[in-house]
Formats: sequence, structure tokens, C-alpha cells
Amino acid sequence: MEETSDIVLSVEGLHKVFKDFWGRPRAKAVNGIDFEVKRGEVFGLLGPNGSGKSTTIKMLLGLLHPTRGKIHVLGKPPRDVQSKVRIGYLPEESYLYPYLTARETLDFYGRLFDLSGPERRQRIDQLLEMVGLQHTGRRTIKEFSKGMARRIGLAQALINNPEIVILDEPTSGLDPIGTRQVKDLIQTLAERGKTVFLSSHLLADVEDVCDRIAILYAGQVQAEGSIVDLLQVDEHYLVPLSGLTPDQLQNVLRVLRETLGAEPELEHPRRNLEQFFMEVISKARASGGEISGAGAGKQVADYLQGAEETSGGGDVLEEILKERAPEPSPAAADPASEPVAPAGEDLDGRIDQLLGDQGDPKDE
Amino acid sequence: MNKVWAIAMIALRSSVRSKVVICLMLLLLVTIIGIPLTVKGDGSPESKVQVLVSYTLAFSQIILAIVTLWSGCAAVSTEVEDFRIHLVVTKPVRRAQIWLGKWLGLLVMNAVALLLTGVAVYGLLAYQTRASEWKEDEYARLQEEVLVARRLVPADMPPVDRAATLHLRELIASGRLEPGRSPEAAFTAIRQRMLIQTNSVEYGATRSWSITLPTRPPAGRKVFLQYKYQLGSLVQEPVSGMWFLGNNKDARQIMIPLQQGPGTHSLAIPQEMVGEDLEIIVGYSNIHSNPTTVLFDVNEGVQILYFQDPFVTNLCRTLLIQFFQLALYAALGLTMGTLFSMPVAAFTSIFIIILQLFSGFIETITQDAAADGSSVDPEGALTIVEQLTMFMYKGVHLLLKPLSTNNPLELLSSGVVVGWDIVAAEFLVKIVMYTGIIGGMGVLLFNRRELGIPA
Ligand SMILES: Nc1ncnc2c1ncn2[C@@H]1O[C@H](COP(=O)(O)OP(=O)(O)OP(=O)(O)O)[C@@H](O)[C@H]1O
Ligand SMILES: [Mg+2]
Repeated sequence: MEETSDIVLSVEGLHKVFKDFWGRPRAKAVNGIDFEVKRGEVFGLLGPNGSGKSTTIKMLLGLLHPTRGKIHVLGKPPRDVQSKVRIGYLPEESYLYPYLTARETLDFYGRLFDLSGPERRQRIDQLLEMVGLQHTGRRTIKEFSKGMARRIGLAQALINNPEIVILDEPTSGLDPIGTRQVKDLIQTLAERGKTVFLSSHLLADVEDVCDRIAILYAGQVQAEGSIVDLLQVDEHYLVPLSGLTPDQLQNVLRVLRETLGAEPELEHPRRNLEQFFMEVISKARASGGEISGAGAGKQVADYLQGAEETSGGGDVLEEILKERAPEPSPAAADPASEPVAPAGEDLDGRIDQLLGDQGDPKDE
Repeated sequence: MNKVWAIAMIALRSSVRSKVVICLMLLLLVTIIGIPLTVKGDGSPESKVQVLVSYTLAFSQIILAIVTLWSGCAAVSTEVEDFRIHLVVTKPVRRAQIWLGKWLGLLVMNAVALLLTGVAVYGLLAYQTRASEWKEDEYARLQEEVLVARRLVPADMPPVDRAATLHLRELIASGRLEPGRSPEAAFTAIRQRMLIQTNSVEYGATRSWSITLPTRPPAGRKVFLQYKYQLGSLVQEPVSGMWFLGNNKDARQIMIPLQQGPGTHSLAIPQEMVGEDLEIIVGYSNIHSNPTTVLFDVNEGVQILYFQDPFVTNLCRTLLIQFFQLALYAALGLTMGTLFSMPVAAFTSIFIIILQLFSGFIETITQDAAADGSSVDPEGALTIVEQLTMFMYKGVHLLLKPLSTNNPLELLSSGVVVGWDIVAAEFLVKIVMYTGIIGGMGVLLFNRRELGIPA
């Protein structure tokens, strides 16, 4: 039975009370929450530690049984086995078999989806490359660092090319490159018409990728809505200006001063730490050296993008640096001669463009 | 099936990696090689085989049972405790498939272990029973009576039931039945006494048994008469007796005089003695010089044995029966492991197995209690607590009784065929019935379990 509406996840009056052995209530983790997630949306569940994010996610997956309330996932109850074919899940920690190698791990989960041998091999190759572990496919999970295991966890969540991806703190334990990549991946998935449901307490991550968020506190939704609606400050403006000569700048400032009747504030953009980090790693990599950890990885596995098309296949690190670094300008130049751009320019938009240009959204 | 198999292979790898399992498997290796080399028996070829076959297989079975229970209990419970199960149940896999996969994994482990044990036992046996090791007659006996699977046919039961019934009626009619004694108990006692009577041969007397074979013994193979007796006198000396062999159709008869002490003996008899209707009649005359009664065993007094299968076939069937037993233990461990966390699961399943091992003992308790209640205290009823305890004992007994079937190792090591009928019965009881019930329960409860909560 195909669900009729565009709503792929719906939660109504959800409660969860953890009880002890004797049935006495021990913790009220979720206290009556409602929300709906539409197809193709990136929905973020925010909240401090212990606010009930993981509990909610586990109920969506049928791992925990709600004390009260209704849950529908793809129009089915959460314990429905068949709808799991269309769901990918990344738990809050990597619960993997320590004695399996990365490849064997992914192969095992692929088998649970009844994927054919060649299909599994192909997807595993692409996924390992995507998460930057193509060189460590033959090592066992117990030798992996936390972030490496986390990358395998992410790869297994995507092996079935799911329609809904449920990610419990997807960026926890990841390095900045990995974090960037996961955010890009989430956006790519959304562009392909997939629904992403994620939880996090890293606000920057959520802000970058989510269409809509719900903020959870003490098991209750305290605020819910689209990121734009919630965060836009209507009476403030940012005007990006670049390539102005000092004269032109003086002119602009004069006009502003006259219009506003007050001195306008002027700030210089700063490289953020992320960009700086990327540069350092890039230099280190260029100078060679064996890596036993995670590499940077390719952008997004081909099969996740749709069958016919192939991704750029480039190194994500290179892409990020190429696309996002501000135009190099003479460092010691007169401050006034530097281009004025708003702080925190939306660099992400560009890489998203890069990824988004690769094909049309495709279902299944 | 692909999914179930994937889960099975994970279960196999998990248990093979467990330290407990590794240690026990090493112990198994030591057992298989160590027992035949250290335990010597009494030096006769029979005892050599007995030791090798029954000790080694029994020991390896115990070790495999522990391994299986342990791995079974751990298979699901540890994955629930460390949340690995989360990534399995959030895939399109039924809980029944998980249960089945884990069970299958344990079966594969046991199949491989049993196969290796079987090969090792057979190899060591072949080595220790090679012709150069033994005297000619010993070697012949080994080949004909020990390293074979012979069919065992007991003598036809004398028609004591009717006589016993008549006797009981007479007792009741004349009011001579002991007061407080149930007719059933009296019947059993009368019947037993009559059976002993029909199987005893007094000084100077002759008694005969008829034995009907189910099939004709294969040509060129010896037929054996096996008999077991005790003596009525205190002095357990060899007694002189005369065996008569014959059948209804032929006039041919053979007389064999022998002087043997009490115990089990066997005698090769010619193929031709088996009549056209597959009946053999054997008689025994007590011709001892001193007056003494020869008491043939009620059950194993007189039996005919003849070749049916080679030893390997028997060994395989025995291993198959052991395999069914282990499959049942795997199911028990798994089901406990789906319900409880590790130590609780292990203790519960061990408790159940101990109950089963002692179910014979429990039977005696219930019988004794019943006897107490009716004879010692005829008018006073049992207290409620006593009745409840009895009820519980009886329930446990009823539940576990079908599991205590005969031990194939005894048959195997004494060269008696472990028939396909036994194998089929074991399969039916251990796999179809008990594994079915235990597995069904396991899946049912596993389905209801909230896996997001560890303990
Ligand atoms: N198995 C459990 N038994 C009892 N209480 C629990 C259990 N699991 C979670 N809780 C309680 O439920 C509440 C919500 O926990 P949850 O794991 O959902 O938080 P979270 O929002 O995911 O936090 P975090 O950011 O730390 O991951 C907490 O108060 C926690 O103590
Ligand atoms: Mg959490």
C-alpha cells in the first residue's frame, strides 16, 4: 500500500516514559510531541543533552515502544518490516561488529536488504570512497577510530539507497572535512527527493542544512518552523560589496551616512577556522605521507545520485578549497583596499550549487 | 534465505571468536586425542572400542553442549546489551529470521565440530583396531561383533499378561489382595514375578525361547546368540549347560555344551538355523553338577544379533542424534538469550537441562509421594503444599519426560544398530516438537521485546 500524502513521517501526541523493572516510572523522556515531515525535506530535531532526541528517533524506528501517541513512517507503523527497505538509520553511536572488516560490515547490511552480490560490491566500493575509507576496507572495525567507525555507520545507512534517512547526530565524532561532507551529502540527498530526519545539538550544522527544525526541551517541542522563518531578522540588512576602490568605498559610505544620519559600521570578512583547517590539511596531503585514518573521500556515491549520471569524482577537499576560498588578496595591503564582504558569506551555497548541478532529482 | 544465512554467518563468527568457546574447543581437541591414549580399559578389544567410542563421544557431546548453550545465550543477549541489534532490526528483517539465522549459525558450528569429532574417532578407531595389534580371534571378534551395526532381536515375550490378570482376579475374588495396595501395583508385581519364573532354569530342567527375526540375516554373515544370566546360588562359579538350537520347520538341531560363569556371553550360530519363517528356537538345559538355578535376565536374557550395517553408518546415525540434541540446546540457549541478559539466560537454561537430566529422579519422587499418600496415611489427604509440589513435579516430569530417550552411544559401542527409527524418533521429539515449541516461544517473546532498552 503506497502512502497517499506527501507526509512521510508523522508523530502525534507522542509520549515515552521509561519504567524500571517493577513498572515504576523512572524518566519521562518524551512528553507529548507532534510533528510532520514532508517528502524531500531536511528536518532537524534540536535540543540539549537528554532532551529526548534519541528517544524520539528510536521510537520512529520501532526500537522503543511509545507509551502513548501515534507514529507513522511512510504511512506504516514503525514496527513494519517491509517499510524498512526504504529507510536508512545512523544510530547515535556506531554499533558495529568489531571483528568484521569495513567491507564485510557493509556487505552484511547489504545482504539484509537482499541486494545482489554485484550490486553490493559496486555500492560498497562507492560508499567506501564516499566516506574516504577506500584504503581501509580490509581492516577490522575494532582498529577504527571513533570517527572512522562513524563513517562506516553512515555508509551502512545509505547502502539501500533509502527514501528516508534518519540520522542521530550525524556529525558527532567527525572531523571538519567529514562534517562538511556529511552536510553536503544531506543536501544532495534532499535534492534527490529524499527525506532527511536528523538530530543534533550542533546548531551550526543544523542551520546549514535543515529546511525545518523543531527544538526539543524536556521532551516537549518548544519551537517549530522553517529555518528562514525562525531566524530571519527582518529589520536588519547585509550588503555584500567586493572589488571597491578606496574612493568608491568612501563614496558609498558617504551616501550611507547621509541616508542614515549616523556612522555606518564597517567590518572585514575573516577566513573562518574551517577554511583555515582545510588549507592546512591540504598542504599536508600535498607533501605526501601514508594515511591510516580516513581520507577526504569522493563527494557522493553514484547510485545515490541516480543511475545514469556520474559525479565529478574529485576530491572533496580540493573542491572545497577551490570553490570556497576567498580570492587571495595581498595580505599586507591597506585594509581599506580589501574587498568588503559580509561576514560569514554563504560559501556553502556555492558547493551546493556544484553538487546540485550534477543532475535532476530522481525518485528511487 | 539470503538474510537468514547472513545472520547465521555472523552468529558463527561471533561464537567462534568468544574466548569461552575457543577454550572449550581446545578442550574438545584434547579430549578426542587424550581419552583414547590414556584410558586403557581392561585390554580386551571390546573395552578398547567401548572407551574410545562412548567416552570420547560422550565427553565431546558434553563440551559441545556447553559451547552451544553458551553461544546460544550470548548470540542475541549480547547484541541487545551493546545495541548492535539496533542495526539489524532496523533493516527489513523479521525477528523470526534473526532467531532462525542465529540458530542456523550454531547448527553449522556444531555440524562442523561433530563431523571433525566423528572423523577423528573413526580414524583413531581404525588405527587402534588394526589387524597387527590383536590376536587373530580377537581381531575377528572386533570385526564381527564390535565394529559393526548389528540388529538385536529379543526373545518373544512369554504370554504372562493373561496369566497375571487371571491371578490378580483370583486374589481380588478371594480377598487376599493386601489392604491399601492398588490393583495396578499388584499386577506389576505379579507380572514381574512371572517373568522371572519363565526365565529361570532350575537344576536339571530345560527351557526354550522362540525368537522371530524381522528380516533374513544377510548371507555370509554370522548370526549370534547372546545371553545373560545370573546364578541362584551364592557361589558364582562357571556352570555347565547345554544349548539346543533349532526351528519349527526343520528337524535339524544342534546341541552345544558349554561351561560359563554368570554374565553376558555370545555364541555364533549357523545361518541355516534360521527357519523359513525366520524363527529360531533356542533351548537351555541346566546340567550343572551342583544343584543351582540359572536365572536369565528378564529383558536381555536371550537375544539374537546379526549384521545389518557397517560401523560407519552407525557412527553417522549416532552423530546425527547427538546433533539433534545440540540443536535443541542451541534453541534453548537462544530463546533464553532473547528474553534475558547473559548470566540470567545461561543460568536459566542450565537449570532446565539439569531438570531434564534429573527427570527420572523426579519421577521417583512423585511415585514415592503417591505411594506415601495412599499406603502410610490412607485416610489423611496430602496437605495443599504437598499437593502443589506434587503437581509441579508431575508437570515438570510430563514436560521433560519425552526428552530422556535411550543413549545411542551404548548401542554404538556394543555393536548394536542405532536404527533409523531411533533417529526419526529423536528428530521428531528434539527438533519438530521441542525445538519447534522453544523456538516459537522465543520468536513470539522476541517480537514483543522493546530492544531499545538494554536489560
Ligand atoms: N533506557 C533508558 N532508561 C531510562 N531512561 C532513559 C533511557 N534512555 C534514555 N533515558 C532518559 O530519557 C531522556 C532522553 O534521553 P535521550 O537519549 O533521548 O536524549 P538525547 O536528546 O538524545 O540526548 P543526547 O544529546 O545526549 O544524545 C534522558 O533523560 C535519559 O535519561
Ligand atoms: Mg542522543
